[in-house]
Amino acid sequence: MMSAYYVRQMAETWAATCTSPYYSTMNMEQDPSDEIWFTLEFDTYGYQKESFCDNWVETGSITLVFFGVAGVGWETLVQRAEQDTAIFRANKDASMKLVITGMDSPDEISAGDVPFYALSVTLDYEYRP
Amino acid sequence: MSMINTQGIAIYLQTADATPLDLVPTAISSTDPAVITVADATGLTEGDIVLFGTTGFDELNDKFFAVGSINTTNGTFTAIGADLTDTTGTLGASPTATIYTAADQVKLCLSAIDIAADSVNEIDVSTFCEVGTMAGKKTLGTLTLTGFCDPDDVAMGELQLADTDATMRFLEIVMPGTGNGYLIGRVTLSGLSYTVPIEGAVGFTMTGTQNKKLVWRY
Repeated sequence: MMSAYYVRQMAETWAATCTSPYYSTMNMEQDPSDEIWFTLEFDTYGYQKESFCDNWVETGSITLVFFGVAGVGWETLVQRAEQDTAIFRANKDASMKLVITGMDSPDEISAGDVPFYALSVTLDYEYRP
Repeated sequence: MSMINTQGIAIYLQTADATPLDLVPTAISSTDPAVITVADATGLTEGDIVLFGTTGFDELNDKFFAVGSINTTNGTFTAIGADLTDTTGTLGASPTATIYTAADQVKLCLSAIDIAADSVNEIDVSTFCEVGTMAGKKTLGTLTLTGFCDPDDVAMGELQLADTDATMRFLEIVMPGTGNGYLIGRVTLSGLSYTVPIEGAVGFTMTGTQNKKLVWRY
């Protein structure tokens, strides 16, 4: 399922503050030439009613997917993934509608190191419109 | 058998600064629902709350009802759930009908409400000859309100007032749909406490005593 428009938009705003260049891959064909770059993936578990009035909360995850050069080891990309995840998480929604509630450890997702070496870090969120 | 889904339930609490309207019934019909005649029914709205006093009808005295259909031409209104078809009462000398309008209520956006029944403490009267108990002191029923804190919600302010003023208020739970009625009673709220999670929404819990048991009227 797709995360709310607000969640995606806010996440892209936060992505722009990271060290690694961010490229949107949502219905976009990208072929970055950067040695390290990242994109975002979104998943949601749906909406849940929170009160007898019209209060709802959307829960889901934002995954930062980092890509690095193949064949040069793991240290650089892992360090950069950790640094940029910390920067991403440090951002706050001033309206408090979107809140990051949890984080997984980096996960290697590439099959070997061809054509990219890739890591992902998943952050859980709550969104109250 | 059908069941009432809670989607669309609305919960209302009497405000601390409620200024109810006092009406004098001049006639009360022995029907279901009862039809109350007053000098002037203008200003009443369906859904207002009426508290009857010394009407001469035990079915109404010191009880809350919701106002049903209103006839301003005849000066009458019905009290939903007031069934006087089997009444033996007659209109008293000084009947009263106190009306609480929407301005006297605040809507509560709770995440849960639990209502517990009255209970009776048992007194152990056992002897060496036989075991036995008898009914002791009755303990009023309680209720627990749970919700999330919202400083922009006027209801939050009312709950904070209720926590400190120990004033009895009516609490109404309106069932969704047509003809499903409402729960209503008189409560005293207290024990406002807060939960502050590491991540998530700040919540509150509040307890209360049912001074007049919540009754389902329909």
